[in-house]
Amino acid sequence: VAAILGVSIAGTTLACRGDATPAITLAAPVAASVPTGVGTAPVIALSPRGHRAVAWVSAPDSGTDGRLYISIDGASPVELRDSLGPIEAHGEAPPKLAYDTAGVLHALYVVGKVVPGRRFPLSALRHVSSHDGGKQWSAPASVTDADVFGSYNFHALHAAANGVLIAAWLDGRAGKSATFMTRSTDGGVTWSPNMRVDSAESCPCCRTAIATDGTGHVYLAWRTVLPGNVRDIVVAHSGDNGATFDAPVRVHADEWQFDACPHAGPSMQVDASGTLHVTWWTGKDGVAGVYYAQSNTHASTFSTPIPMGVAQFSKPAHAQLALGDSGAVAVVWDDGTLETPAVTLRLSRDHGASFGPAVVVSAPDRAAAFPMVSMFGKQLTVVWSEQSREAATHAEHNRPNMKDPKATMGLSPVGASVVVMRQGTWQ
Amino acid sequence: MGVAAMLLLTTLTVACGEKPREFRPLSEGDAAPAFAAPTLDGDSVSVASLRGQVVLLNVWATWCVPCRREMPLLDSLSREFADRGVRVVGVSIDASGAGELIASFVKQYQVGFTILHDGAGQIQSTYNMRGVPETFLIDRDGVLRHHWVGGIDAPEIRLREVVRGML
Repeated sequence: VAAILGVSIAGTTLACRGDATPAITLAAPVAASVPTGVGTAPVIALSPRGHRAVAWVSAPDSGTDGRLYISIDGASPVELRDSLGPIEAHGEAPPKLAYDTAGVLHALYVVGKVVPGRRFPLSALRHVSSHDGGKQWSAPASVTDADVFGSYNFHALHAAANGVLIAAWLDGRAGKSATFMTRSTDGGVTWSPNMRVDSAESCPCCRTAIATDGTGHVYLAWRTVLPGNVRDIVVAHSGDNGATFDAPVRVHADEWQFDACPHAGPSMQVDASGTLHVTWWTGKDGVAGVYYAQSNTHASTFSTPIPMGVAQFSKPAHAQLALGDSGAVAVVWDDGTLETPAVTLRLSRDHGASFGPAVVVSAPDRAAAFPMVSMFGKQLTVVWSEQSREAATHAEHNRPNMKDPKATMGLSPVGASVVVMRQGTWQ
Repeated sequence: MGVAAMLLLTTLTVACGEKPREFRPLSEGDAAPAFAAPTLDGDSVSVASLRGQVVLLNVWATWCVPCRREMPLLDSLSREFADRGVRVVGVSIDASGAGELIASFVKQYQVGFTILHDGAGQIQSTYNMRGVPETFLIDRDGVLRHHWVGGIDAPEIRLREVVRGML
């Protein structure tokens, strides 16, 4: 049946009734990792020549010995470890990948360390690179300039077209969480002094994002904390390759008040014309969900947000976007407006002016999370983490009668999640 | 119709057909959903087993700043109301394998109330949560009476008064 399923869905056009121009064709889902109880939030990067790298963190036997796995073009993943300690598996702070213009693959990840006598584990932010397509990797090196271990997390990595590597993260060295960044002009061998981008507090548990246009304009995005515990997305612009930044500007005044950890950061890309594309999630009741906006003014102003998937209520969703040829913009997210989140995709073919219908790309009966999307030419790849078939089967066989007030729902078994990938094309 | 065609039809129906159930946060008056998780010692505790007590169910994680902030208040409440039929239960959603970390946290914060470990974070979907922390106040009949999203240590929440009102 699996074989039939693969053949039948391969080449299937995914479109909804009433859509006269079906746009997306996806092959059958493929499991990219073994089922695991730890980590599995995947990331994806494309090389200038179209090589596709997918990475995630997992640990044997659902333990704490996290390792970084990187698969190139669907091959068996290489396993990387760090001498400092276990690599952290965290859905909102997964390892980040970036190919530079020379095709060198860079990875940025967090190593955790429990220190006796300290209340919380410390973390180190580590960079590695590979010049041979992921076979051999450089020795890990820290990108931070304070203590090797501190409070560094929710990181982003970007390789600009001018060869500059940029890293951003949330940093607790000054007390409350703040957005920091650094640059490398020698492929990650050395990094510039760390710079605090904004004096305000950053929401301490949402991932950061970086985008550049290749001509010296750099954009950093994060969820800020405004007076009244308003937690909205802001973008800070630099016109000098990241040496200095303008004051951050809110993408939209969502006015979402929330004194908790939502774990939902933004995603950004810059197209060839210099337009900045942004997608994000907000949890404000009544207008909760995923939005898209763009800026043609170096992030000083933004367009009216386009709702991607919005409802009265929404769990945190993790939205990501990718740019393709001919004005294509793909936005993917794990739809938190549903009881069981499903990875959902919408495609624009007019530079983000309008979007086609929502297409569900993950299995409807298994919770899916942390999707990422990439586009290369007319090719499109979506990768995400979802409940493993084994866990779903286990849950089905062991599902208690929840109408019984004394019934109890047990925990998921080890092997609860798996990285899943779907590849296809768009028109 | 062949198997392949049926699977294809199923796929398209899923993408565009019946709308799946929408997410809705729990409301006051809802029955507290069934949930069970192990303590750090490996014993299992369920919400159902606490029927007859007022339960303050707090979902937290070691990495969550507001969670850390409200821990002393929760512990204080637990001690103050323990002999009046109030049970404070914390559910850590730290990842599987973080038992040692949680234990260290509990020791450092001198947390005296029951801590469960839900390494898969299942309570987040079972209780339709939107972030961490969230706290649920459940009456003796297993009915949700109050639900707070975010920290509960703000003075305006008047948590002690709310709990007293349940007794």
